[in-house]
Amino acid sequence: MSIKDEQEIREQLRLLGTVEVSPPPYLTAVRRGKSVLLRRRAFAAAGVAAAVLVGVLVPRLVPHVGQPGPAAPRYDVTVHQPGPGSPSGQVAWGTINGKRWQIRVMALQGLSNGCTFFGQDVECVPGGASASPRQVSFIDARSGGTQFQLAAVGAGVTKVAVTLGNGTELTLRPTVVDGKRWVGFAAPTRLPVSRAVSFARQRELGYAIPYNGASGAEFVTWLHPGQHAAARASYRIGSGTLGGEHWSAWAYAGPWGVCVEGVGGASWCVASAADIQPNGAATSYFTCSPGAQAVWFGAEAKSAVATVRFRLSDGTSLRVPAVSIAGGDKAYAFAVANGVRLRSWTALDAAGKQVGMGSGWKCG
Amino acid sequence: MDAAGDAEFSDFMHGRWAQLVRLGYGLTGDLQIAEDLAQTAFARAYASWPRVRRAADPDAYVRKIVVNANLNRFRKRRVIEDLTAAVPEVAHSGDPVGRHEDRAALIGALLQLPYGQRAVVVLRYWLDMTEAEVAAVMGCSVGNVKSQASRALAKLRDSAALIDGGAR
Repeated sequence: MSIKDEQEIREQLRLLGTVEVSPPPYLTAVRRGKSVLLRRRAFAAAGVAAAVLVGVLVPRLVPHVGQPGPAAPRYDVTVHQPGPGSPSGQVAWGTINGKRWQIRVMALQGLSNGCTFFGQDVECVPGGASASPRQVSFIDARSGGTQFQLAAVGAGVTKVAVTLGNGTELTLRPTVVDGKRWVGFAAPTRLPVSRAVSFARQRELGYAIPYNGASGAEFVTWLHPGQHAAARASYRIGSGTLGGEHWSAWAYAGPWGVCVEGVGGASWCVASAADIQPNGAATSYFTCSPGAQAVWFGAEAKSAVATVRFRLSDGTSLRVPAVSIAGGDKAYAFAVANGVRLRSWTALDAAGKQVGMGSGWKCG
Repeated sequence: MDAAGDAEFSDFMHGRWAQLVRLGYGLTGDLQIAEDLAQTAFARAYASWPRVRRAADPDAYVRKIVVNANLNRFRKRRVIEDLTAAVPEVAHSGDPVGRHEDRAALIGALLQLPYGQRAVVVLRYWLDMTEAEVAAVMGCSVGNVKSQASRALAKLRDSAALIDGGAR
């Protein structure tokens, strides 16, 4: 089929609207914007001196004029299985732009998940991590600008194919450490992970599209081959100002489930919007994050709840609107200054009628 | 920037991020570069937010950055760009295979156009901007936009990539 007229190219260009896009890197853009501002101020302050120096330095500067500025980052990521002589417990190794990394599993039982970083050399104690025969169960860790992904894989899984945002395809084959089967890879945190597909020989077992947040990819939900993935949507579940700084918290729904970011330094994911439902009460919190100035809370509420009013220990009150998450109940986020406690909450419906109440929450 | 400005900028970015990335994708065929371009645009918009927020069309400001930042990238990489006729790999997504292939064919056809024509096509026919708006973003005359669009459509009409790629 060829393009006949403007209408037809409009029709075909609609395909651009189907491109799946990662959540906006708001904090990164702000950080870069601030550095642009700082550079401008530095240039302005140095303006007079620069005018003098240019006259002196022009001959030295001329050779640099034609050089290109910084280009968009290019990432060359590789992954390999351990070979003869590999260190004990090594699950995988590879390179990122030529710099070598490795992931090792320490065979310690009964400890919770945790990884120790020695530069790009990562030792993880996955505790009780396990996977049923057809499962792939990722845990992730981040160090500097690198995300490390380690997964326990079931006995039926022979390969996991991972596609990175720049089109790089990584083939992960399980390595046995301490009687369990593992796969792993590392990638720059800025490089999104597009998807992972698990195979039993040539047969596809399932696929996952992870949430790519500030700390890298989070694999939450695995889908059956051909299973329709949930549509993407974002919801601002809270915002405010603390110490003169604006903050906002967002819930991102998509094929991964629902992930919440911006509740202080915490992020939180569930496998589907249906999992957003308070336990028993009209509202309950799912995460809290103490910071230097404030404590952030992320909470869920029943769909009948329109706002939640909190009585605070300093004698004031706080009203927070609850936001509907398609396919689930509601979510909201708020922050209170450090040292201020939540004494009680009252949930109100759209007409202002009380639909629930309870005692205050304490973070930690 | 004050808190109100931050809040406005946050809303601005969250509301336009996806469209700006898709614009960059239409121009480059590379999702990673598209996200970098969009991030650059928003970083610059943040740095100039008091001026951008007062502009008659803040969207035009960030679109212009994406179009021109990519134009600069092309200028720097022109030799490399001319040496390959192959369609760059397109990042996989959760889309159905057919749609993915259609999109690859579309991107392949767009990448065969000179950059100016490609930008006109995406701005004019995907974003539905008027010729005057396209001219403002691209920094050229309306007449130039008309002629670029006309040439682009003529090329796309005969595009082997779309014919062979089976864009439906």
